[in-house]
Amino acid sequence: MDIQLKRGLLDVCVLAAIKNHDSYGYQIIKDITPYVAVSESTLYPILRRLEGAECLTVRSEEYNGRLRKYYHITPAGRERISEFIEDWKEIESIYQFITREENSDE
Amino acid sequence: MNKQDFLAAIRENLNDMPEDDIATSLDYYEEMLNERMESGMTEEEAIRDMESVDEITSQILAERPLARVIKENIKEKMKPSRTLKVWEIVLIVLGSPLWISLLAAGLAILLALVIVALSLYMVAWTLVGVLWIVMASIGLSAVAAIGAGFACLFTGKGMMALLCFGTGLLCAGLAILMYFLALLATKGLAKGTAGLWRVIFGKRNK
Repeated sequence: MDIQLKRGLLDVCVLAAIKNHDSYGYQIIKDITPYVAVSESTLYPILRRLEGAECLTVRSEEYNGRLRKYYHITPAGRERISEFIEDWKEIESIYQFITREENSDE
Repeated sequence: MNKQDFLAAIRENLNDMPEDDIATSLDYYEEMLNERMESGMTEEEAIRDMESVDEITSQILAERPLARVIKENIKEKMKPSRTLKVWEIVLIVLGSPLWISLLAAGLAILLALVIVALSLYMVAWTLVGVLWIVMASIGLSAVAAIGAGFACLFTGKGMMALLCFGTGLLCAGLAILMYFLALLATKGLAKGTAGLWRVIFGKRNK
């Protein structure tokens, strides 16, 4: 996928992964990978950015004798997802425009 | 490579970053290694399954906000000069008889050189003064000789008068020459002084 497109999508993807329940880094990657390839080194800055934008919060929990970081979505994070869904309608119509243009040239 | 080496390598590449950020990054990647090891991999397999240290650290460094990067670089350059440690102070005080006397000797030599230079400068002006005095005396001699020449004319000593006039003219010529020489020397020394002054002090005014 085009890198620019991907960049815009990944932030929302991560938020969606923690939309219904808190999750941790490794699990988030496993959830998203079927839809868009994301490496751990890509995920890390995204998590930092979303935390900075207060779209999610982080807490450390003990698991199997070590600490695991859990990410929790905030109202601002949910807002981001809504905005994306709104944007998608626009993207959908642009897609129609692009594909329709090809057909009408024939 | 084991887990500790892997994490240490990451830390090394992130050297200039604030400690908090480095710690958070290491926590994240250590967690990723632990997750793999829990699902059955050995430490080595887990590390091999991860991305390379360079890939990881270049991603982290690339994501830093520009303002932070600039701030960190400025902080690095503006580090205050370190304060002296106790043993350094003790050493300085103990060695003071030596370095104080060396310093004093050095200053004395410097002062002597300055005085010598100034003296030479005064000598130069004196020499210029001498040129003017010589010009004056030759000039006076010319006047005297010409005066004597007229006196001889009136007393009828023609040859003597000629001699006097001749000498007078010669002296006058020499005096004029001396005048120009003295003027040249004066101007030269004055300009040279001004030039030297500007070299030493003048550049600050620019």
